[in-house]
Amino acid sequence: MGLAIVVLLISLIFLFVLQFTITRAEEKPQQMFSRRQLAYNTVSTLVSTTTTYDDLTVKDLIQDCMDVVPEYDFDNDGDADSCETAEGIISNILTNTLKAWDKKYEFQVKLGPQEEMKISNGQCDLGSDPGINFIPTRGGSAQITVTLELCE
Amino acid sequence: MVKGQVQMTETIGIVIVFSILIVFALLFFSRIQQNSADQQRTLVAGEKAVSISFSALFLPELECSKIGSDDIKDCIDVLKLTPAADVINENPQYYFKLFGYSTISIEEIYPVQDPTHTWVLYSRTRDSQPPTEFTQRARTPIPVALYNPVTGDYAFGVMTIDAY
Repeated sequence: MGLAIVVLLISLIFLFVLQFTITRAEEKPQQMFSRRQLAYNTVSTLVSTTTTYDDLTVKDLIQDCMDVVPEYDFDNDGDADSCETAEGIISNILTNTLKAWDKKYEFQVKLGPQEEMKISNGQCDLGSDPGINFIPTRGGSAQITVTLELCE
Repeated sequence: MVKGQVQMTETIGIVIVFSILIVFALLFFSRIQQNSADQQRTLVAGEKAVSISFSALFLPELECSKIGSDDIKDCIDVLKLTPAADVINENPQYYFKLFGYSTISIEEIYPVQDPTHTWVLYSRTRDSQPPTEFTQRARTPIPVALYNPVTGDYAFGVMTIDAY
């Protein structure tokens, strides 16, 4: 009888501990708001940043990269390299900020529905909050969408 | 007599095991309480950090003032940073009402990332000592554009708010 009570108590305590360990804390609105604000601010600030390449902004580099005939050739090898340059700068900034703060993210640049650039740190399995910035193409025929998904 | 002794031993054993279980349960609950109190404190500090970040971002002492720069949100004029820090130091009571116990710093990430491109705008801790790595805080980093009106360039910076 006594042993049965002890076993029952241990089982109850074990279940209780399991419940506390497994149950995921519900996300507070403040955390969600902070993440959305961070995603939005990162993208908008990133796009407006002036680079060390002819004082062009990241937006200028992305626009050139998405053009039918890209023209910027910073290493003078005869091939346009605005895409590599933009990707390097964006990757550098994201590594020194979001990655350094242990945030998982997926950064994408799309021309219309077509994905043209992707930089990520992990995958957003539990959902994400996006920060989006729209850039018109030089010809104005399509829309470039810059998206940063910050994972939960 | 022997049966009675066995029952007595069993009862004592159960009482001991039961006491141990109660002690473990108490330790467990006190730890949970402690954790939830810490979480609550961090949450309140986090909420405060978000509200401080908005106060800091829209300070006229720091905001970019370029004609036609309405489209650049969350922008800080780098030439205003040092004078603004001086004004904040000279008027501690006024800014304490705005920022409370917190540290607000701004760091340039791109194109230059070094200590000379880091500014501490405001700092006040609860014990009036400089914050250490062990000081309990809620940290909110916010990317901001750092505008240089002389060159017309926008650097990528981060405003960090540590609320205590």
